[in-house]
Amino acid sequence: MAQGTLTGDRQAFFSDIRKNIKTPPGGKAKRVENPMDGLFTKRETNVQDRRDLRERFIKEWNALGGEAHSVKNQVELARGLKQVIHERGIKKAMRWDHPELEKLNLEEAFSDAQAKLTKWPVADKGSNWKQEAASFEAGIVWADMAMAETGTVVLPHDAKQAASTCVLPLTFIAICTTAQLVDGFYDVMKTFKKRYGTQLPTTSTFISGPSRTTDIEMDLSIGVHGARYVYVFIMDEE
Amino acid sequence: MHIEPSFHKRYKKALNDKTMLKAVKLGTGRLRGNRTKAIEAVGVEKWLEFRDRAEAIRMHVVQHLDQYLEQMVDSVLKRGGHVCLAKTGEEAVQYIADLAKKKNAKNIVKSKSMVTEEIHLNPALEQQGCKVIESDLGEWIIQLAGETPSHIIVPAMHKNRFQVADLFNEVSKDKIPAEVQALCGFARAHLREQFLKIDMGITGCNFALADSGAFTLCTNEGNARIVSALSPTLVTVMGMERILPGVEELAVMLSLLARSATGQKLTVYNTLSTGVRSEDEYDGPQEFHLVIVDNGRSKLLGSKYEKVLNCIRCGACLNACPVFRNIGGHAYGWVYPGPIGAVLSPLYQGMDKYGELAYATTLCGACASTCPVKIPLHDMLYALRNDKVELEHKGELAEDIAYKGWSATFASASRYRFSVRMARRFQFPLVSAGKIAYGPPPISNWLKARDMPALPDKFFHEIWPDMKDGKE
Repeated sequence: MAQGTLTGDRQAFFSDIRKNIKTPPGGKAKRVENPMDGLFTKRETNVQDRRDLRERFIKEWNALGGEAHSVKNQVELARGLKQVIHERGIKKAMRWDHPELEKLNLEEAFSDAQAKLTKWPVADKGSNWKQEAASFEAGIVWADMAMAETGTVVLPHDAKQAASTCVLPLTFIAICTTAQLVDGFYDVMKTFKKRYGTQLPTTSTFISGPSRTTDIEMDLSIGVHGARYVYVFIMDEE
Repeated sequence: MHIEPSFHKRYKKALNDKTMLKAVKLGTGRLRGNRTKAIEAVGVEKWLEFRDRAEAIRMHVVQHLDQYLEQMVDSVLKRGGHVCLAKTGEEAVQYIADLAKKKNAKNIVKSKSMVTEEIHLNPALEQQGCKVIESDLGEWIIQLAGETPSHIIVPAMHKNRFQVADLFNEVSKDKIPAEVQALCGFARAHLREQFLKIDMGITGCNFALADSGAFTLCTNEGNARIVSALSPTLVTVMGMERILPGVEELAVMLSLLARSATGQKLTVYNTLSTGVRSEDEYDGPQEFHLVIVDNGRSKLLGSKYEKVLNCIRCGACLNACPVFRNIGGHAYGWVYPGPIGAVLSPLYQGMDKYGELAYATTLCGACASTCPVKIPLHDMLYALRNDKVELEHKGELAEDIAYKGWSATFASASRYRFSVRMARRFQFPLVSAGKIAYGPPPISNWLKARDMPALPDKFFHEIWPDMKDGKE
């Protein structure tokens, strides 16, 4: 990737800052070592712990106005998806091109429910893909991690796992297994550091419930820009 | 929007706007209640730890701002993003306006950004023929009204649904009923069309990460997520202090920000982006520009006001402030209202224009005790009052003598007792029914608003020796 360009007088900009920064009596504040320690849950989890975390996640996600479900296997997942397709009258949905979703044969569930599921990308790059992506009624993603304490799904994006899938449609569906469940930020940020170092993905989205606003008279309204109906299906890990 | 230059006139006007005051009381009350519940859920002790940690993180960053900013700039450049270092707001505006011209950007969609309000970006872009649309619902409402935000988190807090319906009906072909769901539904449909036509997107920046060059956008509506996904050219404008070392510090700040602002555990959409998309991606900008704005911030470094740069723009101090709750945001005159605005406005815009805001406080300290990064806002307001007096009253001999005399009298017990005895003896021409309601200047100004009790026949220190011995 080509290096970007800099506009402005770098030397003058930073010399103004350096000139003014002072060392207070007692020295400058030191960098906080391990800033998350003591604030967030920090532990190794086993299968049973993660089953408990699933209950916690479901409680939090539902409290935010979404619907999270525990499903044992692929059969129960298909049943759950068909229910959503029926409830929301979905005719057309898109999904990430993700190996875990590939294994689940979601297309069959959609076809059984007389709906169509299209894998990302939904149009050619040269075409008006934005218009096309916005025409889908639902978007399905694989949650890379799910934070139980806050009811948050963590979605790193790349060419096959587009952000548009999770933010343009009115209905958002995330799927994962209990293996993706973590307590909260501690595990997510440690995983990010270990996995990416400082080379973070182009974009990652942390989603906690449906799009919401209280901008008019502090009255809660759901789905002003992003998804109004948000579902998470958590399967048993193998 | 015309801004009345006198704070006195602005707050008088606000006090007469009953609709606005009702809306602000409702809004701040709700946000305050939500925050309290969030703290109770975390546990007060843990919350205090969160604040200590956040303060330590911010202080470290601010005191090493040069290092972290340089690291950030290099990280962004390395990932193919462009960086503009803008010493002033005008430089930032010029850069973005030139870029819009170069990209032939006609449709510009923005997500909420206080710093772009601060530098007056929209009028400059509109002047050169760009259509600029605010996509945050509250920001869009005030854009249609031609107003500035009245609250950092809820910009249209002062408007009720009937006023919003009137504004939307000017844009809509069909009549929109004054019902919140219907109004939001119309906003979704209308703004979705704008998103799909976007030529250039402009966002603010909640936090930038020095080590990776990433920046975060936090929105409950998801508008910033859409802007950053669909813009071919994306401009992110950040105040230069909005920086953190890395993702671990970010976790602390995001947890504090949402709880302090709205009482949520996390904002609904937190986007962490490094800017330019890869060749095979559809989403995200082909071209990314990070505009880092100084605009008066560097002069606060090393000063007694340095800690104000810790601010994470959560708006909690506004909701806590009894003055804000009774006059709303527009009375503060500039883009930042409430206690944080009363400190930032005179520091960024000058004491001559906004020095009066140092008096828009009861000095109760609610702002400081609410602040998630422990900015001593009421101490700063007190210091600003001193600065204002120093600036305006230097060399006024009579006043200097009066204050020095007063100071000398109150510093000595015997002089104080002598002076109050004299006052008691000579107050009789002013006393009526045990009160002083009228008097000569300069106390006449004070007495216009309230009565002063007359000095009693005996002071406490005169009664106390007898009380102590059980005689009274």
